[in-house]
Parts: sequence; structure tokens; C-alpha cells
Amino acid sequence: MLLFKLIKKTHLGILNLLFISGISFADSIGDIVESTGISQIVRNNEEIVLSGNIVPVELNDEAKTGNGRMLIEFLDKAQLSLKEHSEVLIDEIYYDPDPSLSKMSMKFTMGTARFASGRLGLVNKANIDIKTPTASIAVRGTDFTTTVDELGRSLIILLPDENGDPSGEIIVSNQGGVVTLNEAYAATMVSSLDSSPTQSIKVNGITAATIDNMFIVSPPEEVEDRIKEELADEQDQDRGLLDGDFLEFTELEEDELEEDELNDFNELDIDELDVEYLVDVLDIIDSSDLFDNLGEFDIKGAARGFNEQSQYNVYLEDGNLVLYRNVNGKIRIKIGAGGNFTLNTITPTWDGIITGNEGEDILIYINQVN
Amino acid sequence: MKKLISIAGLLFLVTSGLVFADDDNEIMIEQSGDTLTLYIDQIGYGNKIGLDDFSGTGSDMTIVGSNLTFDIDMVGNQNLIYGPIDMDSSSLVFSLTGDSNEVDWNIGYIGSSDDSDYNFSITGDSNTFDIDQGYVYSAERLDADLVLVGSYNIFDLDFEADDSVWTFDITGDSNDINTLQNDGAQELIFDFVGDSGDIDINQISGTCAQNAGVGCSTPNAVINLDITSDNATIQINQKDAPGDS
Repeated sequence: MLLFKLIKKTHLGILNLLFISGISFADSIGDIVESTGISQIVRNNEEIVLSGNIVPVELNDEAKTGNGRMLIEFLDKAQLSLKEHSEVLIDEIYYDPDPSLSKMSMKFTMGTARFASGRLGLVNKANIDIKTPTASIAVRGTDFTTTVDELGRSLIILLPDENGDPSGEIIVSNQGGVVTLNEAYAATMVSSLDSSPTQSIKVNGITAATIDNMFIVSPPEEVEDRIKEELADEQDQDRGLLDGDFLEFTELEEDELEEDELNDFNELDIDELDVEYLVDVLDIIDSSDLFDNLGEFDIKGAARGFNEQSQYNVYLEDGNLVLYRNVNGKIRIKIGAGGNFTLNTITPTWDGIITGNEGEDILIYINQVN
Repeated sequence: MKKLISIAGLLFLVTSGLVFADDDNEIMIEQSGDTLTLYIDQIGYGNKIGLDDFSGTGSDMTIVGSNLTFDIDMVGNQNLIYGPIDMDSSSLVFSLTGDSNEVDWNIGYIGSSDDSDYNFSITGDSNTFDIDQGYVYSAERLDADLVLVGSYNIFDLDFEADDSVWTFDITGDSNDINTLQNDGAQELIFDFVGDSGDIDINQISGTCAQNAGVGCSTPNAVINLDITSDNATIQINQKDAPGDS
């Protein structure tokens, strides 16, 4: 017992040293504690092939498996396991002595991965952000899997704890809607960014070990049935011309002006007084969670209207996307309709990246110094 | 006294220091005095406008005066225009159609060049522009427009002067454009259509330096950039002092 306490104190001491007044970890944020078969880490565009050794993991690493598996353990004992042919980007991990200021953000982009939050409680679950190509997952539980196919369709399953009870609750959301999973083996399928996740359905006859990429080829029967039911419901609601009840015509009751006001932020809506000049650097909030669809643009890192963090006003003008910022210098960028772009902004009040249509092609760097 | 000079091709007169050289089509200008109105139409290959040296050094075409009006129209390839220019309250209309032309102007070289209005219209590929506004002396309140249609052009435009407003309209691929606006209020309106462009925009001392952190309802640095491109790299730097970065 004495030995256990000594080890525990030593461990916490190491963690305290690592915190150093809330400084984020510049280097290792965890280790690859297991790897079998073909797996690798992509770091700064270089591929590090794993050969079974314990390898430190760093921010912005991309964990990839081929015909192999991988288990990563983070400093807070959170675990991320990847099955064959899977990819996860470790986007942001920040440990602060105050768990409410810590943050963990990852993107599950391909294959089957399982995430179990850390038992050390160093990161508030509200600050854990997991994304797939089509969904965001807010974690109030501890243990779940995602299976993502090449089109980004995502199957998310909440796993039980050691007693067979639900390991908590996770909330799956995208532009189409929100679904809460709070039963052991409750699942939802998300087909695209703007289609709502299917309602929660409990999958029977599976265990954590049996969840793998086979679900890409053949989703659980319960999930397939749910998808068919919801598809049928949608078709029922869109029954064609002959099914229409023209007595229900209510177009004239709609107030187009009111709709515009609600939905269309434009140049006239810009309020120059919204600008915040005295931003406390400690209050700068990560905007990477933001996303929106405007016309032909799929935007990440910003949303239409005024963005409080970046202080960009974002709106459409004749199908083109306008990003307007007036903080000590005025910058207005208009991207041609449907263009791909990456806008990297570094200012005294906000640093961040906004992308359109997955980014690149047009690469814009803004460096503003006062 | 107002002077009106029109030059077409190789033909023409010499007034107030204009001399034609022997080789190629060279127009040498050494002019001083106010209210000059100068029209130059050059058509052909290898035309040159300068003094007696086309190496791009300071002894090229010299123009000094105020309330000058230039209208230069060049059609052809591999034309050269060099020279230091000092012209207050002047108007310049410059039209160039052709490839592989070179323009190297130092404006405000030996005297001020304030309150000027430039209009550049370029159609062609692989042209090189190096324009320094406010090279030594004041060259404030510039209003300049550039319309470029072409590819593989290189522009290096430095404006060490207050209150310049630039309007760029660029259509073409693989253009390399580097702008510097330094001192005072600066505005750049940039419409860019083309692929593989490399654009650097620098505005220095144009932000709200005096009011930093207090608020600035009318910032002095304004960039308005429209982009339609499949592949472009654009770097924008706005800062208050050359040392900042």
C-alpha cells in the first residue's frame, strides 16, 4: 500500500511538473503503448512506421493503421484505439491544472476507432471534442466507437462500462440535428453533414471487440432498419404532385422579408461597433469547432454572421463568400463562388484558420501586428 | 506654358529636350517645367523610353514638373521604360500591349510627386514592373489603377507615401505581384482572377498605431480583395512599423 501511494504521488508530481502553470505540452502528449501489424504516425508529412515499440505521440500527429492496430494512451490516461485501416488526427490537446481549461480535440476520419476518456479527470468532458467528417460528438460518457467509411458516413456506438451499464452519454450532432446516445450499445448513423443522425437504436449481439470495419460493409441490422424507416418517412412526406393538397397553399402567408432578415446576413448587417479591441489573450476561444454551409461553400472555423472570436463578418454576396474584418486594419476578402480556400489569420486578438470546401487551392495568410 | 507633344512610331519632333537615338526605337526624355502634356504612341518591337541608359539606373528618363499629363501607349514586345520621375498633381495614362516588356520607374526621385493619378492598362505576358512611389521625396495622395490581362507577369510596387489608393484588376495565371504601402492611410482594392498567382500585400504604418487597444473606428489600412482562383497563394501583412512581423 505504501508503495502504491508512493507511485501515485510520484505520478501526480510528474503531472504537476508537466503543467507548469497551464502551459500546453509542446512535445509528447501520450504514447503508443501497443501496435500490431502495419501502423504508422504521420508527423510533419513524414511517416514514422511503428514496430511494436512505445512511441511518443505529439500534437497534430495523424495515427494510421494499415493491416494492423494501435493503442494510444494519453497523459490523462484517455485511450484511443484504432482497428485496421483507420485514421485519426490528434488535433489539439491541452492540459491545464484547472480541468475546465483543458481541452482535447480529435478528428476520426476513417475506419474504426474507440475512445475512452481519461480516468484522471484532467479534462472536463465538456471540453472533449471528437469529430468525424459528418458529425460532432460531445462526450458525457467515457467509452464509444466510431466507424467511418470513405464517404465520411459515421456509425457511432456508445459502449457499456464494466458493469454493463451505459458508460455515460454522448451527443451526436451536425447541421441536420442532434441525437443523444445513453444506452449501452446505442447507435446512430450519420450519412452527411446536413442530414440528421438517425434516432438512437440499440444494437444487440455485439461487443466492443466485434465492432470493426465490417460495419462499413454491413451495418448492424437494427441500424439498417432504422435508416430504411427514416427514409420511408421522408418519402412519405414528399409524396409527389398528385398527393398535394392545394387547399393547404400558404405561400402568401410567408413574409419573405422576415425570412431574409433571419437567414441572410449580408453587408448591411455588419455592425462595426461589434468590434472588440481589448481582447484578453486568455479569453481567446478556439473557433475550430465552428462550421457552416453558405451557398457553394462548406466553411469550417467560422459561421455566417459576426464571429465573436475571430471578429470576421461572414456572408454571401452574389454567390461569392465575403470575409470582412475591421480591427485596427480593415480586410475584406471575397472568394469566388465554390472556391476552395484556406485563410490563416494571425492578429494580436485572434489566431486561427478558416477553410472553405476543405481548404487549400487559394491560400491566404494574414499577419496583422499593431 | 503648355506643351503638347505627340509621337507616333519612329516619327517625330524634338522639343524641350526630346531626342531620338539611333538604334531600335528609342525615345529619350529630359524634361522640366510644368503643365506638360505628352502623348507617346510606340508600335513595334524593342521600343525604349528613357534617356540614354536603359540599364535601369538613375540616369534614365528624367521628368520634373507639376500638373503634367502623360499618355503613353506602347504596342509590341520587349519594350523598355526607365526613369526617375517627379511630377506633382499629374496624370499618367499608360497602356501597354505586348509581352516581355519592362517598366522601371522611380517616382519622387529628386523632388516631390504628390497628388498624382495613374492609370495602367497592361495586356500581355511576362512583363516586369518595378515602380517605386516616393522613392526619395514625398509622393502622397496617389490614386492609381492597374488593369492587367496576362500571365507570368512580375510586379514589384513600393509606395513609401501617405494616402495611396490602389485599385488592381488582375486577370491571368502565374502572376507574381508584390506590393508595399508604407506610411499613413493606405487602401488597396484588389480583384484577382487566375490560377497559380503569388501575391504579397504589405501595408505598414497604416493600422491604428496611435490608438492601439483603445479603438479605431476608421482604420487607415484597408484591403479589399476579391479572388477567383483554383490555386493562389496570398500573403497579407498589416503592421505599424517595418520592424514588426
